[in-house]
Amino acid sequence: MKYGYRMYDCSVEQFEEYNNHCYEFKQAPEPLKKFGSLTFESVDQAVDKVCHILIPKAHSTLGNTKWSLMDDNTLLIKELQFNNNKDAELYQEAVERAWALGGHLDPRVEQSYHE
Amino acid sequence: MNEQNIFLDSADISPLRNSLIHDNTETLNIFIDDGLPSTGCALIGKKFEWKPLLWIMHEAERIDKIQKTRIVICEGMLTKSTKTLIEGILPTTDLEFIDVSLSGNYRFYVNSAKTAVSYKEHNRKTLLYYSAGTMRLPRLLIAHWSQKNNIDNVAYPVMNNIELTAFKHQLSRLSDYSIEGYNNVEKRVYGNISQKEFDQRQTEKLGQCRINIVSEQPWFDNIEGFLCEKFSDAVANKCLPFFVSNRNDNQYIKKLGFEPYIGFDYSPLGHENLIERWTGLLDKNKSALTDPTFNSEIYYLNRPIIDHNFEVLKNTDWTQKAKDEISPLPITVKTFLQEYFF
Repeated sequence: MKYGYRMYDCSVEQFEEYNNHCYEFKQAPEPLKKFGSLTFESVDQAVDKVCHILIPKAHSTLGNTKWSLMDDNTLLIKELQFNNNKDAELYQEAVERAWALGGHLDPRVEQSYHE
Repeated sequence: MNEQNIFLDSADISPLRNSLIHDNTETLNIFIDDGLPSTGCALIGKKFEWKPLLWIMHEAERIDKIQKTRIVICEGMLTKSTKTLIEGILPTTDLEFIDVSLSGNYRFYVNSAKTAVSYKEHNRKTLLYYSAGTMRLPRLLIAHWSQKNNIDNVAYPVMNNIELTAFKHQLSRLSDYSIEGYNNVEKRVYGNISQKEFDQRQTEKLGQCRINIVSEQPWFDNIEGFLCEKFSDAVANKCLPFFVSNRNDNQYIKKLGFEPYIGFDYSPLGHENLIERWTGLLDKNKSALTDPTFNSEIYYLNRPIIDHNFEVLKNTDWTQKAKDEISPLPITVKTFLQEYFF
C-alpha cells in the first residue's frame, strides 16, 4: 500500500483562522491553493512534521514501512508492506484509535491514497 | 508528593496536543464521569473501544513511570476485563481502581425520590412503554424491534442522514444484523414540548405502564452500573424496569440498596456480541413485553420488589449516601469529587 502526504505551508493558527473565515463566508476551503505545499528538508523531518500517530505506538513496527520524498520534497510517500492480514488489520486499528482521540496526522496534512 | 488530577470528561485528549501529564507528577488521579467526546467509545475495527483506554494506551510510557495512578469512575464501575487490559498496559505504576456508584448521578435519585413522594396508584393499561430522547445503538435496535412487532408505545427521534449512515456502518462492522426496512421517522409520544412539560407527562405515562425499558448510554463492556433517571424514574413510578443496556444492571442495583427484579430472561447477556445480546434480550422476552397475560403475570410477580424498591428510593437520603460513599477515599480524590459534584 502506498500513501502520500502533503502539508500546507502555514501555522496551525493560520490554518484554523482560514477555516473559520471560509465557514463564516460560506466558502469551500482550499488550503493547498491558499498556502501552497511545505517543502520538507528531509524524510526524517517530514515524518516528524506530519506527526503520523499510531496507538499503540508499537504497532508502527507491524508493517515494513518505507518513507520517501517526491515532487521537489513536497510529497511524503509511505510504502507499507505486511506479512499477513492480521498485522494489516492491527495497523489499521492503531490508525483508527489515533483518529478517535482527535488526530492521526497534523491538521495541516492532506492525505491521499496512491495505490 | 506531586499529585495531579485530570478530569478526562473536559480534557483535550488529542494525541496531537502536548501531554496533559506534568513532568513532575508522582501521583496521577484520572477521573471519568459521563459519556462525552473524550470519554465515550469509538468504533475501532470490528469493536467499540473506550477512549480513556486509548488515551492510557497513548500515554502509557509516561503514566507507567508515575509512582501511583488512580482511575476513578464517578458513576458505575469499570468491568473486570477493562481493568485487566489497563493492568497489562501499565505494568509498573502502582495502579488503583476506584469505582464510585453515586457521585455523578445521585441527583437523579434525589429528584426521583421527590416524584415518589407524590405517587398515585393508577390503573396500568399500557403493557410496555419506552421513549428514547437521543438515538443510540441499543435504542435503534429497540425502535427497529418495535416496528417489526407493531408495538405502539415505543417512541424515538428521527435521525439525520449522517447519524443513520453512522449507525448502519457500526452495525455492519459489529454483526450481520440488517436494519433494512427501518422506517426513519419521528415517533414522539407528546410532540415537541419543553423538557419541563415532558417530565410531567412522562411521570403520568410511567404511572400508567407496567414495563418500562431502561436503555442507558452504552459502554460496550467497559463500564457497568451507569444508571440515571431512566432507572430511578421507573422505580419512582412503580414500573417494572427491563434493562436493554449495559451488562448486569439488574444485579448492580443491589449495590444501591435495591432488589433485582425477577422473571425476565436475561440469558442473552451471555452473548459477547452486543447486537446479538440486545436483540436477544428483546426476542427472548417478547411475551413478557407484549402478551397481556404474560405481561400482567410478570408485573404482579414483581410487585413486592417494585414496592420495596419504591420505598428504598423514597426513604433514602441520596445526597448523604453519596457523601458517605466517598468519605473513606484518599483525601485528594474525595476533595475533587466533593468540589465537582456536591
